[in-house]
Amino acid sequence: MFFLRLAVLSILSHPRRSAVIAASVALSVMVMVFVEGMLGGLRVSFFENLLQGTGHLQIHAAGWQDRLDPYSISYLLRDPQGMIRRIERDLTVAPRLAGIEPMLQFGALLVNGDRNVAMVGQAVQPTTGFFANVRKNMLAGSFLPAGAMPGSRGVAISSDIARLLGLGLGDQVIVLVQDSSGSPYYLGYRVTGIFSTGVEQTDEDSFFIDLGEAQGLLDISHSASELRLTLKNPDEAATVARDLSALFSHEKPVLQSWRDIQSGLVSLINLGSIYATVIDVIIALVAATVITSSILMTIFERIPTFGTLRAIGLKRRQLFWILMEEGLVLGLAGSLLGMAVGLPLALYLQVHGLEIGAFSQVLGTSAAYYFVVTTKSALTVFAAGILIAALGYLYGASVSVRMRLLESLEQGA
Amino acid sequence: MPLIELQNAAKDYRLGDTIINAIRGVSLSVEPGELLSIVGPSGCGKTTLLNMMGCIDGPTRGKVLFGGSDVSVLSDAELADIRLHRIGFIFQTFNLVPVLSVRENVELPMVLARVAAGERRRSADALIETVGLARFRKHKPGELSGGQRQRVAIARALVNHPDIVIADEPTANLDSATGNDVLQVIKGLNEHEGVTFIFSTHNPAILRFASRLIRLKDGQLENGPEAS
Repeated sequence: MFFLRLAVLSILSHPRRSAVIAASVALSVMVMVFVEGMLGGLRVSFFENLLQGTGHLQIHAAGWQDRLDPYSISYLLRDPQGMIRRIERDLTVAPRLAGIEPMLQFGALLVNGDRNVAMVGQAVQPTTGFFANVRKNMLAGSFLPAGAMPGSRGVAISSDIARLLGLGLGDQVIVLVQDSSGSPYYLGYRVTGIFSTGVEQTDEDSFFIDLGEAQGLLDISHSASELRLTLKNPDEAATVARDLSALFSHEKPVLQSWRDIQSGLVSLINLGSIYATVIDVIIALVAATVITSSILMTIFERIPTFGTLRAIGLKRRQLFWILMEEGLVLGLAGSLLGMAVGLPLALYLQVHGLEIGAFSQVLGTSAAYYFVVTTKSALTVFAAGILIAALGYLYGASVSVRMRLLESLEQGA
Repeated sequence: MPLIELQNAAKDYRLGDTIINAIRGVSLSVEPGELLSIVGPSGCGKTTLLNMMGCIDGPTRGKVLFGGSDVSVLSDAELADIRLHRIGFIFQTFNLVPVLSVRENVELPMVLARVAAGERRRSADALIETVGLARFRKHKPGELSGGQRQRVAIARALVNHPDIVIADEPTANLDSATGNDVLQVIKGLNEHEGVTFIFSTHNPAILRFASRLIRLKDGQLENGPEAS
């Protein structure tokens, strides 16, 4: 306690320099908490989009990867429900499974009078756990209303498409497809839901339809283009894929983990992490450099005092820790100050989001970007702030400790 | 056994290409209870000699024995322990820690010696009273006169009950009346408490306080290996 008091008193005896050191640490902590919150938001947003957009693992029919038309219905899983039952009974895979759904994607032309638009039909069960951004952003009606009779669940389209085709809720839209025999076929559906996610790719390319109705429309009863799995631990996707490959060794389906499907985004996230680390390191180095001159002045003008302390019995090791304690106290003060300003800002952006405009399309998120600050990331930044001051003190402390006792004393003479 | 023994101790300093022989083969011993004064003009090597005797600096040649142990073979930490427990220092420029109060300055060596807080306070207060600064125990060094600061330094030097107190020109920065006052305190502690003191001075007027005198000139004892 005595040395802590000595450290605090020494800090207070140089108020201006101490303020510069603490303010530099505080500023670094503020920037780091902002960067970490932004990156945290990017990661969470990525995993949410990933889960909603692709699941953690997809099972496609053999040969699917060779298709020329991405929405071809030539490569279908013929008995998806049977496969689901087998997966759910498998003792290796089932415990790691969080959910599994059949899905069907197909190309279609939506027609209303003389207006038409080519789109991707996303055929899902009305109770689907996927496409949360669509289900949560219904502007009118509901997403494939579950209470409606089969055959009357209609379609959900975006407000952009509704405007383009001149459609409103309850209006009929013609869905024209090429069925399983290769012939054009169409049916009329009511628009039962209008959504707006803010994500161009979803709003302008996709419409949603009940899986059973789509199977009827395409004349592919009981078939699906994929099984989409969510896992309790996404990192197990590769091992689960291996187990499923063994389970369906006869069918030889194509198995794709989220890392395969989202390789571009995974690279982007990894790159983002590297950038954030580089930014944090640069911030730490700049801050440590800025404060080092103040620290050195603070330390070096007290060399005679250190000489006296050593002359009366203080060991080099003890002197080193007195100085490091001083650095830690200043780092703590700076970190607390930085957190007091930076954390509320990051938490505000976690709740209200930050408008990122066109960049949202790159990330596949809505126009507002939400920060995510976890206890772990906040504590890491807090510790980094303390570390910056400690690093700054490290040099000064090691120089003063290495100095010969007589040399230290003579500086005061 | 002498407290301190110098056997043909010499100290050289390098100043650029020049070697300065600050101490040239001094042999002497200091017995317990002595009030030894080292006198000589400025630059004669008094401080260097005291630094060697106080384990602050080692000899270039010869030996310095403290309590019979050759200090040149001791580690830095062991020397720090000797300075902490067995030697008290009084510096010409007082060398108090400016941010600490009088009481805390006096407590400092006890903190290093890991003395319990209660005992620290009792011992410090008693010594502060002995040197006549009871009213100032909460003051900072900057709020004291030169004489008062030197009294604080004396209290600090004595607080761990050292075998010997080394004072380097303790009155040099004081006016003659205050210097006299400080020397009275030192003499009183030597006579009544049996504390061994070595102090250096270039002021012949204060030599009457010493029980033994050593004259130093150009790094050598003026009257042979050991003068009395």
